[in-house]
Amino acid sequence: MKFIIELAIKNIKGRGRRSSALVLLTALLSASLFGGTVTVRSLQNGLRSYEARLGADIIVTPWEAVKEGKLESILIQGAPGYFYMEDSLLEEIRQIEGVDAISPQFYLSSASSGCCDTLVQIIGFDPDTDFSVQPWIRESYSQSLGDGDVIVGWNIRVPENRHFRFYNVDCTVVARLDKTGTGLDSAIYANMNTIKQMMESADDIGFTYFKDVDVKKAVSSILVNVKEGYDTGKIVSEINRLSKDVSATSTKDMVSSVADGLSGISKLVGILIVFTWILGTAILVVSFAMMVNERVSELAALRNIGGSKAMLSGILIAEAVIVSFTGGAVGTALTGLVIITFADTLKNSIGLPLLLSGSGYITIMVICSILVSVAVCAVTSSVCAFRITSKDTGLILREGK
Amino acid sequence: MKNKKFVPGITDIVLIVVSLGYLVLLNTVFITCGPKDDGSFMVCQWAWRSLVVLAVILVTLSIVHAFVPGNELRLGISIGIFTVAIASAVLPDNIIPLCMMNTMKCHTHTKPGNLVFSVLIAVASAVDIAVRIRKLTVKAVKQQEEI
Repeated sequence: MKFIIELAIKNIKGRGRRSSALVLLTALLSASLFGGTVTVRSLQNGLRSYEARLGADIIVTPWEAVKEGKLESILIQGAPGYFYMEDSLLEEIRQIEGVDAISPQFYLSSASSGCCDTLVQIIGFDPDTDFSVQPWIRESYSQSLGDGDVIVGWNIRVPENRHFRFYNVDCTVVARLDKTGTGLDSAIYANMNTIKQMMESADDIGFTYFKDVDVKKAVSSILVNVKEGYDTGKIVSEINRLSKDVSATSTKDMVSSVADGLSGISKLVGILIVFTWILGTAILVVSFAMMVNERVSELAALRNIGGSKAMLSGILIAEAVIVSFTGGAVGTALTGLVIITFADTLKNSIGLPLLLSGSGYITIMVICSILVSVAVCAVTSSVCAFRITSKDTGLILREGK
Repeated sequence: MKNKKFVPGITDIVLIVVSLGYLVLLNTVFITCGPKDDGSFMVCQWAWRSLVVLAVILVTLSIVHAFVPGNELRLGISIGIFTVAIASAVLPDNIIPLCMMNTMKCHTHTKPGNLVFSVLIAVASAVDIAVRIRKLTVKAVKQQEEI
């Protein structure tokens, strides 16, 4: 066995260019399998995280926000935005039969001087009624959020003095949330009193965010939970009938529109993986067949000096396994490095929630990708080895073919 | 005296190509956030400028590495390349801070791009170091046997 491996390594070294080409090809195969699978899985994780973070059955926003896609921009891409409506609708929605819980939210975009050298989304919630934000804030911060306290999303670095100032309102960072893979990672969370103070201060300074809405009565969205057994679609219609200036959207519809985008990308990635593998395997088969034909005299000579059929097959398979293992390891290592480091860039460019899987899943995928590459190469080379060892070696040497 | 024909090794080519690619991409794709409205630069600018200096050093060392004779010299230069590559991998965000939002260009382009290229250069130089040490060891054993 040791002799077979040593001979295989010498053969690989002796044919440096051919071996490098095969390493590159198997690296490409394992990279496509590993990269494609991890990307699709990360998009699925992002979708699940997005669904979990919405935390309500219905979201009511001003019509203008729906028309311009502002809510989705905030929730998925983390693009700062704001839109306001009067809070008088709160009571009217609460009266609708089937409404279980209701809570307002407030969206405010920071001025660039406030923090972070760029605009930041500030999201305010009412701690007494909130059922959407607080459950997952509690995963990182168990106490209640006091006035002037803020919690930052994963994408925002906490300054050393843990201090931010928005619209002349001083805030203290009390916690940083875990990564969700959604736009909510780029937001700062405050309670209703803190954000109301910021909104009033912004209005006083002269920011024209509120247009004709009274800043004291302004809310950005109303989250609604529906009682069990009631039809969400019916309640959405009832809310939409209350005012032509607002729009109620079922969160299921919001999730399904993201899921549609995800399914398109998943299909495309799947097709690319299949195409790469078909092409790659075909090239491997041709390469191994050509390699064996080229070495037919060498193998026949080995057979004639006492090498068994099993030994010849062993040499060819060992060469294929060493080359494919090296290629697989290089391919997955490079792809892993690129995917892990460029995950946020990828998320921004495709505009979909993306949350990388944990190290356990990635490790399993690394092993699987390398194993599949090794298996394909081993099978291909063993077929070629069977073909050559079944021929009469004496005839090959005599005829030279 | 017979002039030796220059034949670059695989690691020479890899080091030159990757470090040149690193320098070019650092100045085109992996650039940091632009100036603020008031014309001043954000903190990430200083990290980027330091990276450009390190990239220039890496390109210079890689070219010198390909042309100098002798395994001893090449080993020394490879150790230098490895050290500079590790320094450039850890520099942004650890030694010189980047901007405060993870969504900004310095976090989404400069930091990951720099990490990928620094690791590639570090791996290539580590392979070169291993090859040079092996060659020097074989040479030393042969000399010992001759004595």
